[in-house]
Amino acid sequence: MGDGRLFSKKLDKWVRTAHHRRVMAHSIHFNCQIHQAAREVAQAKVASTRTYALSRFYDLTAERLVRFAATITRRQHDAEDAVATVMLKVASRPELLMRADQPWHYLLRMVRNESLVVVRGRSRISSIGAMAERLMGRSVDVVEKDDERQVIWQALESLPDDQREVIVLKVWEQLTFAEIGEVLELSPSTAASRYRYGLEKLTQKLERSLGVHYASSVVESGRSEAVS
Amino acid sequence: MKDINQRRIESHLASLGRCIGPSESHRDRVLEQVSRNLQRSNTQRRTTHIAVALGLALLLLSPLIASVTRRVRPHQAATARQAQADAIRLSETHQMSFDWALVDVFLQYRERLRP
Repeated sequence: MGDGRLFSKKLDKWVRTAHHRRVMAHSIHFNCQIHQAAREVAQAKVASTRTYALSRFYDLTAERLVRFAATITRRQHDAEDAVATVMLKVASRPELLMRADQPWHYLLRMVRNESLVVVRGRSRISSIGAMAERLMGRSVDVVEKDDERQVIWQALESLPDDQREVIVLKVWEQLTFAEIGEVLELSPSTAASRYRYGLEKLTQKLERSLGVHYASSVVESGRSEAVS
Repeated sequence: MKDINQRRIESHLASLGRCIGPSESHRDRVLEQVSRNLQRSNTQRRTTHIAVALGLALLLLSPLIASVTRRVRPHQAATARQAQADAIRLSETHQMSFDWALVDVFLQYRERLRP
């Protein structure tokens, strides 16, 4: 019985290590791709060729950037505006990314800052904006079609901003807590604890909304991952 | 069991993440905006370069312009003595009164000033 548990623990550790290595390799490869794309943008001197180079950069990053921005702005078109602003900055100053050690983290930080600017600006004119959106029939929700996804999105949306950001970076971007700390300018342990608390709240909310029974001990497993 | 539950939530979130992305028109809008912005900044840069080049040229040519303008003497107005001498000469040549000759001399001076 004891041997079985030991084996299970070892296997679990091995699986985690293998997953971690795979994620790290993917992260390094992705950063190289961004470096290369930024270099191509910088090398293109004419406006048309630079726009073409940027289109490749857009294809590489925009989907993930909009997804991350949407969790901060909570609105599709605001997220798109934030990403568009970042793309303009990259087009005019690609050397910013070329100089960065981790260009993907740098981009995430840029999108986060732009999204926060959008959110701050929106709060000033929120009532006018909401009225205009209703009149123009613009989409407010990021997720519309699927009921279950809508419920998950609402649960995620209801989390505090700091916890939501950590969860999104961890699950969607597969970043380590150290990397999340770098993007959000936090210590890795703070990122880990935010992830743990956020996941705990999310479990409770989903349990209530979807009727799915998640063990409350998710928190503990989050803690063990934070330590590893 | 704990891991299974955690992975379940994470897979729910991951599937949610897969369905969030930019709208279809976003790419075109961004690229159009970038293209416009780059063209505008190129024009601005070119204008700045031209302005700087012109400024430098003016700075370098200003001593030359100064020396040229110094050589060109401005038109000097006739003195009263000169006008009287011209009027006497005119009256003697054309056998006319001094007054009318003086009028003619002034008219000639005025003609000379016109570009």
